[in-house]
Order: sequence, then C-alpha cells, then structure tokens
Amino acid sequence: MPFGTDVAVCGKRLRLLCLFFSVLIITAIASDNARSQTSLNSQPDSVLRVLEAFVRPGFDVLSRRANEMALAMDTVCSDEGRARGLEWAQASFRGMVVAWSRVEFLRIGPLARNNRLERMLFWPDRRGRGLRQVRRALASEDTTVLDIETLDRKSVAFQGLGALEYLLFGEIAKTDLLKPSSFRCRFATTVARGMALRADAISNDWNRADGFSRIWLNPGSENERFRTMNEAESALISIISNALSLMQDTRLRPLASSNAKAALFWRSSQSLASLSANIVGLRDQLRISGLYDRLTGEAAGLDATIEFEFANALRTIARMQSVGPQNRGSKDLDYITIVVTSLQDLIGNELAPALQLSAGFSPTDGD
Amino acid sequence: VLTLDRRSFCAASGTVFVAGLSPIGVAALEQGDVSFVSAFRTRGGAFGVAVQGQDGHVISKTALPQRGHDVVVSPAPLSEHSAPIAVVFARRPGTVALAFEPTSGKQIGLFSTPEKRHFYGHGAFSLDGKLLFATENDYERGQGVVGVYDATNGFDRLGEFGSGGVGPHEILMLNDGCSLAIANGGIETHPDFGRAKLNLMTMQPNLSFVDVDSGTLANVVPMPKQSCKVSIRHMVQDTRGALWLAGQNEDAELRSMPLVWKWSENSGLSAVEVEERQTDAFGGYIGSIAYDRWRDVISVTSPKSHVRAEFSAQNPKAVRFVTQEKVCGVAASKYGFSYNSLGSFSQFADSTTITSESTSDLIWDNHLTAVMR
Repeated sequence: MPFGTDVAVCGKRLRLLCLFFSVLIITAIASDNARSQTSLNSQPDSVLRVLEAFVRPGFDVLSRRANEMALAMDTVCSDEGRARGLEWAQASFRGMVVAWSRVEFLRIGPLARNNRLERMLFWPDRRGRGLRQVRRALASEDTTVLDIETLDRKSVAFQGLGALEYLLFGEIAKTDLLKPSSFRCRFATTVARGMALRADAISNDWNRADGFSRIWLNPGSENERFRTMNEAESALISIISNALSLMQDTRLRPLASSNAKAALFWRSSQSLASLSANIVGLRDQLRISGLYDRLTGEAAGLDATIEFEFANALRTIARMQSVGPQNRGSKDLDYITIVVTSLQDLIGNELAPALQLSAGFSPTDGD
Repeated sequence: VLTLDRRSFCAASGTVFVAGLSPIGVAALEQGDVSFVSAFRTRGGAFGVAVQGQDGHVISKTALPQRGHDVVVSPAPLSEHSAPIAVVFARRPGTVALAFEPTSGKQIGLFSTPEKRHFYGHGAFSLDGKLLFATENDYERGQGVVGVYDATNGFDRLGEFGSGGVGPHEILMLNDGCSLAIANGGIETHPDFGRAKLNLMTMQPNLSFVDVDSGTLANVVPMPKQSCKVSIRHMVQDTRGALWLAGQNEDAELRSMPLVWKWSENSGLSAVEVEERQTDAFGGYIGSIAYDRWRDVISVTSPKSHVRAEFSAQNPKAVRFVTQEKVCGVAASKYGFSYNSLGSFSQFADSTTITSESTSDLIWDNHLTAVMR
C-alpha cells in the first residue's frame, strides 16, 4: 500500500487537506530540482516546454480537483453538510472530469505505471462488467470497499471515475447518498480518497527530477526509451496522433450510437464537456510545444490549418452543448468525426514530416 | 446487416481497379517461377490487393472494399485444370474477403463473415484446398472463433468452432495436414469501439491447436504469466515441425519482453533467448515472420523500429539485424527473403546481398505472400 504513511500521519478530517499542502510543497521543490538539473544539458526544447507548461500544471490541477472531490464527499457524508455537500460533490466531479480529460492521453511514464490509467478511468467498460461489480458491492453493502487499502486491491472498475459517477449520479443516488450513515456515501468517499491519492502520486512523479521527465528530457544512446532528440520530440506528436485515434474509437463512436447510454460520462451529462477538454488538451499541448514556430516554406501555414480544425471541433461541441440533448442532430457528431480525422491526417502526415519527426507507429494501426 | 444468403459468395462488383493482367503483366509473370501478393493502400486512401512479379513489379491490382491484411494461397488446385486460388482477408474489424487467382489477379468473388462476426485478417486452407479456415471474432461474447468456408462451393460458410482464446490472429495448417495452430493474441476488441483494445490489463494470450476433422480443441498452450502482455500474432512452422511465433508487447510501461517464441512438441513454448538489447531493437512490435525452408532461416520484421532480423532455426542466438525503413511484409522463396516496405520491394539472397529491387506508388500492408509455380 504505497500511500499508507501519508494517510496515517494526517488526522482523520484534515488528512487530505494536509496531504494536499504537503504535495504542493514537494511539488514545488521537485520542480525546482528538475529545472536546475535539466537545464545543464542540451534538451529537446519542445518537450521541456510541454512538461513545464502543460503536463506538470495539468496533473497538478487534476490532483487539486481530486482532493476537492474527496473533501466534498466528506461533507456529503457528514450530518451537518449533507444536502449542500451533494451539490458541491457533483460540481467537484464535473471539475475533476474536465481536469482529467485535459491530460488523460499522456499515457506514458507516470500514468502508464501500475495500471494507474485504468484505475483512474476504466473505459470502455464492455458489457458494463465493471459497473456490475460496483452495483453488486452496493447492493450487498460489501464493507471491503470502504477501506482504501482493500479497495486498492480490488478490480480497477471500483477505483475510478466510472464508479464514482455511478455512485454520485446513478439511479436513486441522491436519496441513497443523503440517508444517515449511507453506505453509498462512504463507498463514494473511499473511491474519491483513493483517486486523490493516486492523482497526487501521478503529479508527484511528473514533478520528480529523477523520474520519467528526466528520461524524456535526456535522449541518448544509453537512454532505453528515447535514443535521439528526434525520438523524444516525436513522442509529442505520437501522443496527439494516438489520442485522436482513441478519441474516435472510444468517445465519438459510442456518442454516435443509437444507445444514449453508450457514451462515456452520460450519467453526469459530461460526455461533451469531456470531449471538449480532450480537444483543448491536445490543442494546448501542440501550441505550447513551440513546434509551430519551426514551420517554414510550404509548411508555414500548417499551424493555422490545424488551429482552424481544432476551433471547428470545439465550436461544434459548444453548439451541441447549448442546444441540449433533445435537439442534437447526428450531423454535428459526423462533422466532429470528419474534423478529428482531418486533424489526424494533418498532424501525422503533414506536420510530422514537415518537422522531420515521426507520428510514430499508432498502436491502433498495427495488426 | 448480412444474412446467411447474402454472405454466400457474392460476386465482386463496382470495383475501382481493373482486375486482370495487361499483356505486359502476362509477360512479366511468365518470366519467373515465383510471384508475390500483398494487400495495399493507395496514396488516395483506396484499398486493394496486388500481384507482384518475381522482381516485385506490380503487375495487377484489384480493389477491396475494406483494408486487406494477409493473403493465403491454396496449396492445391481444386481440379487438374483449375488455376490456384488465393484469398485476401480484411483486417479487424473488416468483414469481407476476396478470392482471386494469385497468378493473374483475376477475381473469383467476394464473401463475408456472418452477422456478429468479423475477420482478423488471416486464414488457412486445408491441404486439399477444399476448406478455408479463417480467424474471426464473436464480439458479443468476446471469444475467438474459426469460420469454416467451402472453397468448392463459392466459399459458403459451413460453420465455426472456438479458437480456444480471445483475439485469434494468424492460423496455420500444420505440415501434417491434421491440425490447425492458432495464435490467440489475447486482445479483446468490439466494433462499437473500433480498433481500441479493451482488456490489456487482463489479457491472456495462448497458442491453441485444433483437430481439423472434428473441429475440437486438442491443446491450449498459455503464454507464461510473466509474458502475458506479449500478444502472439504471427507464426511459421519449420521443416522439423517446430512453430516460431512473433509477438507484440502490450505492456503499458514498455518493459522489455521477448517477442520471438518457439513451440515444439517436446519442449513446449519458450522464449527465443536473445540479448535484452536485441529484444528492444524491435520496439515491442514484430509485424511479420517468414521461414525460408531452403536455408532453414527465419526472418522477422519491425516496421516500428525499421529493422528486420534473420536467424537460423538451428542457432537462433546468432541474430543479424538490418535497418530498413518501415519494413514489414516478408516472404520466403528459393531466391531468399523478399520484403515490402512502404512502396518498395526488395529481395535478398542473404541478409544483405540484394538481388532485386523495385518501387511503386502503393503503400504495402503488413504481409507479403510468395506464390510458387
């Protein structure tokens, strides 16, 4: 149990807040260390920019949102704050979804470790297998889900946003959560605390001077992951390229299905908010990398074309959000799919070659 | 939605490319005793299957409605006077396959999987050429199956049996003609989520053997627990009966894992030991494998790391790595190994001595198949 010490040192009510501040301090020190150490060598500028201005701040925000979520759950489960707390908890959940969706496609290094990705979000959940387990635990009041340590050893389906969404927004959630000593409330609190600890750990790992950041920032013949500067920079492109492909398969397809309940985060009405944050995250990552500044000659206008397509996707999602689910036509989703395909083509087949980088080998492309 | 009637052998129509050979194509084919077939994509994004001459020149192209993957050639003609038959399968989650004559590119017909099934891009003929076995996904149950098609009757689907695992990929008819070997890669996918891999955390790849006559599972050999993130996909059988398997690493943390495996009746399944650094050279992905029975040599390719590696089946530790941009399709003939990479074809008498080379404006798919005459 990697988080045991932190939890034990802090008091019952304050432990998460305490943990949160200690994380901030550690984060700040680690960031300084990372910067001073890495600036000595010749490093891929684009990666350094993305790490400092996108990845680290992005996971820091996720960690803050996850800790807020856990605090809100504490309030929901308390006698004095129950009704007000629920609204806060649901709003915190939405905030956490957006923070997560901005960075979730950085599926390398810290997020790839110990199944953290799946523990944060088990999706797609084919045949609702994960959710069935959550329902069963709820129905049988299985007390092993009320302890972070035992929950941590259970299926990943218990541990992330999917479980928490069901507990907060599922059928009879409100009535169930507001009961005195509600089992559902304690279950949701445990899930939220586990997620806060995990988000802290991921953020810490990104901020560590000797962690994955150093591997990414210091390509070389002895570096098993990135042998050349080109490989390190190409990873930025392949992250975006793979993300666009996964977005199509696991987000847009279910959204376009005739089953309104097939989409990710349909219970909390966050499907489009999450998609929008996914796209904003990829757009910002590319902007921040500074790779656009290197486009010259015939490729000079490519950044404007890519930005135009990102804006098209975001504008369409915003319009869909404004009209509400009843008035949404399938044409908007078809259009977003076309735009995402176009972005994949622009980034993989035009931007990458123009920068002498490789969009890599898409894991969804090989067979 | 496909029905039983519709799936049975509908003639290809509305195709874009002109099938069949030009007079130049006929001349090119007559010059050699080996030709090659491979699926391709055009720069404009259309899909097809091509016949290449002995020197790799494209001599015919046939359109495919979906992206093709591997081509399997029947080991025996159906009658004394009939031409050999080849079948190209759509890759997952495609549902069509095209039968054609691999010596001319002439179309025989399209056929498809039934409802709730899709192909995985590979198949195998029975030794008499009468039956075709194709790996398929029963995606509602998340289980692999093998569809059985009647090559003597328009590739009508006769039935199916379980593949013994999840995500079956390459299927081989073993030299004895009695058993099929199936590389169950262990990865679950569902068309609702495109090509997204749904069970990477819990995947359990295995090598299974099915008795051809009864369709019953004779043996299932699981990948060892510490290597369960290696999805075995492609395989060849050597002349001594051993199977050589090539895998793809699905470990999220990209920990180094052996990708080449050997199975034999006496020794079971074990990793082919090479230096860790050599394992890393594949970038976690082997796209294709071929066996040169004339020299007893195996070749594997990694388009991800732009390398190919050759080793003797007698002494697999002595691996020769050669850098080759985007190399993937590999086929063995008596002339040595031939490789397709992006739009290029190259043939080597040994690992580095090039004997033939040609380029085209097509982008070759993962596999290259040699057709001997």
